[in-house]
Amino acid sequence: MRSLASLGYPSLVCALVFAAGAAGLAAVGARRRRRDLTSAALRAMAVAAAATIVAAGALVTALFAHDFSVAYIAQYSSRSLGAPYLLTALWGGMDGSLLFWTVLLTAFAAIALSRAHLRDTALAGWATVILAGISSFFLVLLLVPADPFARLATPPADGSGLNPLLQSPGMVAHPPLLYTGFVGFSIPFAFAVAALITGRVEDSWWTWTRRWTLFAWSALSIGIVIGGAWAYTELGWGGYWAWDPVENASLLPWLTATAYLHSVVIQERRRMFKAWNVSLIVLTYSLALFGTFLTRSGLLSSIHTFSEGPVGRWFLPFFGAVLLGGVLLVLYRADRLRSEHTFDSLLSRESVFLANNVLFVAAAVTVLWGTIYPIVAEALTGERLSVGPPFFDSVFIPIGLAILLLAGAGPLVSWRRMSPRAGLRVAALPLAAGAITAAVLAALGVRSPGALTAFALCAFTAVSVIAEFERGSRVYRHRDHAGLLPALVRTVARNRRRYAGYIVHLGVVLIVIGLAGSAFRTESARVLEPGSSMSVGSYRLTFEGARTHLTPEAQVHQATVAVSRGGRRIATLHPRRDFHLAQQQWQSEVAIRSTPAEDLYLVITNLHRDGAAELRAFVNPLTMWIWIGAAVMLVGMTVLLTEPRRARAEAAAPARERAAAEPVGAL
Amino acid sequence: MRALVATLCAAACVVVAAGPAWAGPQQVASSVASRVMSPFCPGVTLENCPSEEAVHLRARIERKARAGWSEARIMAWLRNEYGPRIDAEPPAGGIGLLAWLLPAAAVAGGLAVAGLLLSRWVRRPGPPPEPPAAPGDRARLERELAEARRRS
Repeated sequence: MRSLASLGYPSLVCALVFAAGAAGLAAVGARRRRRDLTSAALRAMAVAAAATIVAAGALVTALFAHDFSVAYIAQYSSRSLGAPYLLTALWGGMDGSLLFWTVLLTAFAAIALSRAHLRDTALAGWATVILAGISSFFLVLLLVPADPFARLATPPADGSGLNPLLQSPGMVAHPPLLYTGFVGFSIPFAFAVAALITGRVEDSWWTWTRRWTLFAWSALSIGIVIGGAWAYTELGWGGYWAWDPVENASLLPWLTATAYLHSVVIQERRRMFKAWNVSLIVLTYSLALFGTFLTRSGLLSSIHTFSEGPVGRWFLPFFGAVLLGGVLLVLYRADRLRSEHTFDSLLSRESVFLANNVLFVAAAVTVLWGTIYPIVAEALTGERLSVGPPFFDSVFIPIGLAILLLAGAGPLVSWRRMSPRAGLRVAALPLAAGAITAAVLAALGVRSPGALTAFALCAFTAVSVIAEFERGSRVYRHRDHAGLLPALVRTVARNRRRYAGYIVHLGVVLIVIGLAGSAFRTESARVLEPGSSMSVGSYRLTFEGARTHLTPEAQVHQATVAVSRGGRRIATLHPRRDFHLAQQQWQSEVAIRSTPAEDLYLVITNLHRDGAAELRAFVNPLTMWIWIGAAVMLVGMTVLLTEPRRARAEAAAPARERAAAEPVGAL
Repeated sequence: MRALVATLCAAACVVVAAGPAWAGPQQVASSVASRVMSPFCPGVTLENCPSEEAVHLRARIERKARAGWSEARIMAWLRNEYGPRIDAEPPAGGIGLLAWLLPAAAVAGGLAVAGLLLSRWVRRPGPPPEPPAAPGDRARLERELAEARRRS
């Protein structure tokens, strides 16, 4: 393939000219109510998107053509790198990842604006100003401190290659999904700000951008889980979440976006929480930017290696402007953001949603505080303290369990009001399920209070949600004599939003079961001569020796470990210790025997010259349920995202009808 | 309702009777490794650090646990060897207290504000609530009920 890298920089300049032009045209068009100028701005935004895609395409051609005259290509790829990982190199480094981010941003902006323009020119005009402005910022970054097309005076014969940790299927999907999430939030943010500028906060900006928010949230959710799966299979420590600052950076906007997705339901149904919802969207986008700043500034210690560079100091003022601007606009429009209704009762689904929101935001504050605390402590005392998993586990797990309790309580409580007696009646079965689960597990020898609580709450929530499906499908089973599955399918199809949400909650329950299993993790580490054995959990592991072979990328040392249980050989695993030639770096490749009950996880931490191997073995109970739960969540997300347009319109209409029918209450 | 109360009480008795777990040397070593940051890998606990040095430090900790050292004594030894930054969580006093107080304040403050707002929002007893179904759903329900009546 021929390198088209020379097209890259001019394309970015062209994209910046058109994005900045789009922002200017849209601003004038929106102020003077000139529809022609707004239309021209939208076309300019489409050209900016096309030019950015051309630039990204140019970098991809340079990667595949091994054009090492481009510094980025020389730093993040090599001749021996396979095709999938050549593509991964596009987002494997700082500059390329920012280019990829900008491609998504301009493309999403062009698509969202072209559709919104048909519905409301004024709102689309100001949204164009915001999105084109954000795009211009990122394009300036690409042209000044993070130029992915910068040339080397003397190109090397081969590149340094991609970090071996990034040469994994998980890394092909994880960063693009995270970026899709982060960037996707810019669409609801832009429309929320546009609604605040125009003062038309009562308009349905949130229903137009609902699908974008769901899309971004879904991508971020799955991206986070795939990141966990990548850490589990690549990092060799037997876990999937380390509360690393970069991991936390992805969790922060997810928490506030999840709060928003719940509270916006109240806005749709009851026309309440307007100020809260718009604030949550501003906060979500600000946190996405703040996380990006944190991870690219090198301020915090992280196992993620691409966090150094000059880009961080560009992000801080931009993040500050976004957050401050958003807060000022919310305050400016406070009078129009008043709720039109009030609550009828303390015991209602609205109250559960409110508590859910408080806990999600408290969780976000907790994670943010724990992440930045080392910097704060150092600034105040001069001494740098550490904040690691024990802190986050102590403060986050109780909040997470309370959120799980609310996920189970929500379906049990009716909208508007419910008597405590009726509440107890419908909660009896889930409560009994939770209590019996805790009792049975305690009787079986489970001692961890956290795990007991988690399993009890999982049972409570699962029964509560399954009972909803049972109630919903009953009419089809009794009236139409439909089978269980067809009745369930019809139930979900009739009210996609509600039941898709429940499917997502069931996925969360399965994930929590998997996470709670980590309380029972056992591990063992030994130096094993060929032929010698060690035990971990109920397994007996015999090291049968290691074989070495050479690939274009690495010298591979593959161990053979016989796995026995109860004196019977049940599996043979092959953990590896590879020496990557381009990076001159050792990398362990784990071997996992995965079952629904537990994972047997082996990693070679060192190989001795005499043929002995240092073997670390873990038994991780219930881990598979995390990935199954994520798959169930994905099903729910797909059902939500594929909701037909007519159903969406119907779902939005009752809110307006109810709002018109109900008396207006003052706050 | 009585059955529910009886079930909850019985479950609570079983859970309480089960009692806490006994921690052996390996559990002590594992607990210590999860409570300290690795001096060898940035931002990772010793338990999660895959480096060779971490493997050796974990082995030293396990040897001390087998020799009868308590978790507190091993932690003190590690602080002495590597400094206070090895602690994976801030101390529960001084500036470290701030780290623990803010999350508690966020939850308590958030719930207090939500409670205050709720008590202001909740209306005094008024007319009976409307059915929770949306107008579209209500029409469909009535249609389906009429159809069911016709069939029966």
